[in-house]
Order: sequence, then C-alpha cells, then structure tokens
Amino acid sequence: MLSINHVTMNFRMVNDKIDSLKEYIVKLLQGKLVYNKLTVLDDITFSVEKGEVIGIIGRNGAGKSTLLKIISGVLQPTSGQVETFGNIVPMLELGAGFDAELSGKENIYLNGAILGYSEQFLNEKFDEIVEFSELGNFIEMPIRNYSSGMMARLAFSIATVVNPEILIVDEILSVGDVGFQNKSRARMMELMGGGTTVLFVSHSLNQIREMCNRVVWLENHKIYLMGETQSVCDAYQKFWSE
Amino acid sequence: MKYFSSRFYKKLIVLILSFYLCAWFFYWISGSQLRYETIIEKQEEITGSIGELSEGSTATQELLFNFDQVTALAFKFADYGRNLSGKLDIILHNETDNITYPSITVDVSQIKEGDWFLIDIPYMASDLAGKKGSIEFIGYSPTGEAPTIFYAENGKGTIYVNEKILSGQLCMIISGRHYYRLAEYYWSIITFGASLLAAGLFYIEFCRKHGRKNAILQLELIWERYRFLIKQLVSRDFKTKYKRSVLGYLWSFLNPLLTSLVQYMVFSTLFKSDIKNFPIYLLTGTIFFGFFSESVSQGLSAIVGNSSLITKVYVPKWIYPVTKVCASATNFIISLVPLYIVALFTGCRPNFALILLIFDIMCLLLFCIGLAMALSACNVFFRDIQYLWGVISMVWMYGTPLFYPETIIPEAYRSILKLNPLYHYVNFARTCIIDGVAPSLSTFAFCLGAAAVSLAIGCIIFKKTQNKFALYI
Repeated sequence: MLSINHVTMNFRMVNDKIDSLKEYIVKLLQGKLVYNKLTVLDDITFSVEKGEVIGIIGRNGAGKSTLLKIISGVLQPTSGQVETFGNIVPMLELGAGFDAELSGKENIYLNGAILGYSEQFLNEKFDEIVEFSELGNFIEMPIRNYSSGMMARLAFSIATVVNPEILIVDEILSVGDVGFQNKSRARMMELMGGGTTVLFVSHSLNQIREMCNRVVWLENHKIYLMGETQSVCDAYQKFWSE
Repeated sequence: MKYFSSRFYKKLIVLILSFYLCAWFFYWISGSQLRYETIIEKQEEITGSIGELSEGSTATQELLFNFDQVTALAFKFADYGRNLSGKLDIILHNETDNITYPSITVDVSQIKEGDWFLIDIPYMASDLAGKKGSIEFIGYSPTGEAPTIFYAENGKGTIYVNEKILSGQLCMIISGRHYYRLAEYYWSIITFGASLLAAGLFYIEFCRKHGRKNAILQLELIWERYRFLIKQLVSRDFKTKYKRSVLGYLWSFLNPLLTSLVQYMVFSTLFKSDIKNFPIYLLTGTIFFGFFSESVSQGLSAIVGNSSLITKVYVPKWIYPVTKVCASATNFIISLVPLYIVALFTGCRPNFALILLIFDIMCLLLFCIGLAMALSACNVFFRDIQYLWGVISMVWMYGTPLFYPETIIPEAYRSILKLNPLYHYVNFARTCIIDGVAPSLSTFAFCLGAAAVSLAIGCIIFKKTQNKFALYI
C-alpha cells in the first residue's frame, strides 16, 4: 500500500533564518553565509500493508512531521522514494483550508476540493457531512462565528466522509466534547475496519496503544525501533522513565 | 475501417473551421490595419521663410523616407499679406532609384497664411523605406503674387532655393504608410497555422490512443482533476472580497468610477485639451492598470498566505497564484461594464473592434499570471518582495500614460515607453473603445509577446523553486 525506501531528507539551512533581501545581501557580502547541513530523516525504510494502522512516535524534532509531509507529497525527499497506491487524505490542523468569511456549507465545498474530492461526490455526501458534524442550522453561518470545537468537528467530518486509502492524522483526535471524541474514535475504527490505512502521529501513548497495529519509533532522525504496538510502547515508556 | 474515432474527426473539423472563422473575422475587423500602419512626421516649428516662389524659381527639400509610401503632404505657406495668384508645381523624386513622380499642381490663390495646406498624393510606389528623396517646388506666379513656405533652421536636411543652400527643414507634415509585408501572405500563413493545428491534434489523438504522454494531454489531465478546486478557490476569493460590505459587488463598479472621477477633477484642466475623450482615456487606464497591480499583489502573497495548506496537502502549487489572479480578473471584467456605459454616454459607438478586447484581456491575464508566479515564488524566500511591489507598481503607474498624454514624455524617452507592456495593453483597449478601430499589428505582436515572455519566466522560476517552498514557509 505504501512503501518508503531509504528516504533521507537534508535541509540546507543558513545559520540564521534569513528572509529579507537586505539581510541576505549583507550576509553575502560579509561572507557570513554559512550553510548548515541538517539531516532530518536518515535512511528511513519501512512499508505499510493495506488496512494497517501505524503509529509514529518519537520526541519533538525527531522528524515525525517531516516524514508525514514526505509521504503526503508536500516535500520531496533528498534521496529515496515513497511509493503510494491510492489517494491520500491528510487531516488538516484546525482551520487550515477554511475561510472564516464563508459559511459552513461553502467551506465544505472549498475544503473538500482542497482534499481532492469531486463536486459530484460532495453533492452526494453533503447531508452526511452536516449530519456527522452535528452542526445543524449553523451550517449556513459564516464559520468565523464557530467555536473551535465546531470547526474541528466540521474538519473531521469532511476528512473522513470519504473512505480514503491512506489517512494521515497528526495529533488532532482530541477535538470537540467527549461525545464527539467518542464518535470520532468510532468513525476511525470504522474506517480502519473498512480497509483504510492510517498513519497516526501522537504523543499520547494511550491512543497509540488503543488504535495502532504497529508502531514506528523515530529517534535521532532514524528508526530506533519498529514493531508490534505493545512491545514498542513499553520500550518507549521505559526509555523515558530512565 | 477508420483509425481514429468519428468523434475526433468531428472535433477536428469544428476546430479548424472555427480557426478559419476567427482568422476571417480578424481580417475583416482589422481591415487596413493589418496591411499597413499610418505614420505621421511633423515639423511644426517656424524660424523663417525660404523666399518668394515666383515664376521660374525652384525650391527643393531633400529628405530621407522613413516609410514605404507617402500618402499626403501638408505645408505652411505664407503670402506676405498680399493676394496670391498663379500656380505651384510640386514634384516628388525618389533619388535612390532616380524616379520622378507626376507633378501635382496647386492653385496658389487657395492658400491661407499659417494654415496647413494639405496635398493628397494620388499614387506612389510602396518601396520607399530607407531611400533618399526630395520634394521640388516650381513656381508659376507673377512676382509680387507668389507664395513662400515657412521653414525651421534647426530641422534636419537641406533646402536648395534657386541654387542657394539653406540648412533646415520646411514646415511640413508627411503622412505615410509602413506596410507589413507579411500581411500579403495572410491567408497562406493562416492555412499554415491551420495545418499545424491539425497536425498537432492528430499527434495528441495518436498519443491518447497509444497511452503515450505529452504536455497537452498532461495539461488536460490536470485540468480535469483540479477544475473543481480552481473553481472553488476563485469563487472563494471573489465571494470574500466584498463580504461584510453593504454595497458588495457594486464596489467593483464604483471603485474605478470614483478613482477616475477624482483623477478627472485633478487632471482634466491639465491635459484635457490634448486628449480625445479624456474621461474614457482615464477610465480605461485606471481599470486596466488597477487590475494589473491588484492581481499581481494578490498573487504574490498567495504561496505565503496559504502556507498551512501547502505544508499539509499536495496540490500543484501554481494553483494558488493563478487562482488569485483569476479572481481579480472576474472583478476586472465586471468593472468593464461601467466603463462601457460611460463610453456610450461620451459618444463612443458600439463597434466590432470591441471584440478584439478579448485578445487584449487574455494577454494581460497571462502577463499577470506570469508575473504573479515569479514574484510569489521569490516572496517565499525574501518577504521584502511584497513591500517592494508597492513601490514598483507605483513607479510603473506613473511611468505609464494613464492620466497624461504620451506626448508629454520627451522624445528621447519615448522608446523606453514602447518597452512598457502595460502601455501597449492600455493603448490597445483605448484604440478599440475610443477610436473603434483595430490596433496596429505591432501592438498585437507586442501584447502577445509580452504575455508569452512573462509566462515563460514565471513558470521557469516557479518550477525551479517550488520544491523548496515547504521548507521556507
């Protein structure tokens, strides 16, 4: 379903982040333009079977988000390839891909289009999305009036209405009230049961233990440990308690 | 047995026919503009007169032809305050090829001092460009009743008056034509284009059939796939532009009208007399330039502004600046409605040349897209671009004759003006709306060329840098 072959990602970062033309020219003239090679991912190789739920854990800056970006095609790796079969739907962070001035309804179409859904599909599924998000009449309101919980519900509903082949989730499961959290977890389970492959980044080991089949532990930009959920999670916990 | 489907043949025939229809339509609208450009050279200054052209005296002005054919001449004669009588012969020579054209006889009593005296040249060969020539005057008036011609000492050239040599140029206007040689082969070129089109279509169909890749099929695929997204993004920008304002879309009408009104009040006393239909001159400039500067400034922040999406979802990144420009274009097209209404009120007649505006607008749109792509890519790495653009667009605005006539620009800098694409886009529209005729062929070529260059540069810069965007935003 998804295979990642020897993916390495190097950033060539200037010492300080320069984003103005003046700074760049000044530094260039002073000869202080030093590039640091920063390896964010170092020879990562693993593959994921259809229907698996893969948890990715590791400390901050270990390269988890970069790995997800490479898988979703946003970043090109320095070397190595990622092969994917099927469409990838990322769950966006709160508010990304929404326009505050537009109504919930218009945002469903906008966000859906960004996620790659067709118009016909959205027309068919529109009612389902509204129903799942529990927004009711609020759907005609501009979403600048929404609470963050409502926004998250809408985002989750749009992202999961399709049965994507690969779903990428980056720390956003704890949205909405308890009722919606349970509902969203149930929907995730349903998707996984239906054969969706999920890549799941979280710092919450409980969630990982509950949902994942396998866990990839990134440490120092490399795969430190990979394998069955419980054993990797135990090792991770032990690593941190020492 | 047919190799290609009949649907393809139908499509092919329709396309080729519509290509010919467009070509014919263009031929019909542009008429003489397609074959030649009219050029007028003027020497207006007066420093003196060349002396009486009485019976037996001759005057010869040497000149260099800057164009292919002379169609009319005008001179400023003087009468010394007397009544004139008799005749004056005017003879044109082509000295390079040693040809003398039939002389034209002027009834001297018609002359009024200080007015331009117009002489039509009935027929002349059209191969004069770059050749040396002269205009000879032979007087047949009794002394005391003969006219003289004003001249300017500092003008270029030499005047021989009865074997006496005066350096300078006569006060005169030469109206001539510059012929487009290619236009003689118009239909051959069109047929060549049509066969290229047909060959291209066959090739694409062939590739489609055999599952081979080519750029156009790829483009079609991308369009199919992202059409809905493009539509959504454009309508998003369009909808949110005037959200929460009471008048809403009406601002698309009002904005250019009010801006032009202010400019009209400020500049009308300064420039009004020099410009034909000043309100429309002004409004056209404001609307076209307004679209350019707004769409580019919207487009250049498109990548940085959508950073949260670009780092999460894979969407071809060029979609962001392109949709921003297209959203501005929708606005721009709406604002053409009040422009046309004002044009009707100020006495412009509806005419077919207006259809040519489609070409102008398409070229301007592509020009803006190219610039927006290049700048939006640069803006990721250097955020100064967005502030710099404010200054650049202002300089650009003052450098383009939007509210002043181009004649106030000194002759020496006029050639720089001709390099300004916005000058051509605005001028194109003015010619169509105010004069109701097709612009010259060189304007067409420049508009298309500027769009192609801008788009090519934009695409190259964007393509080279787009993989690094996610790292810098």
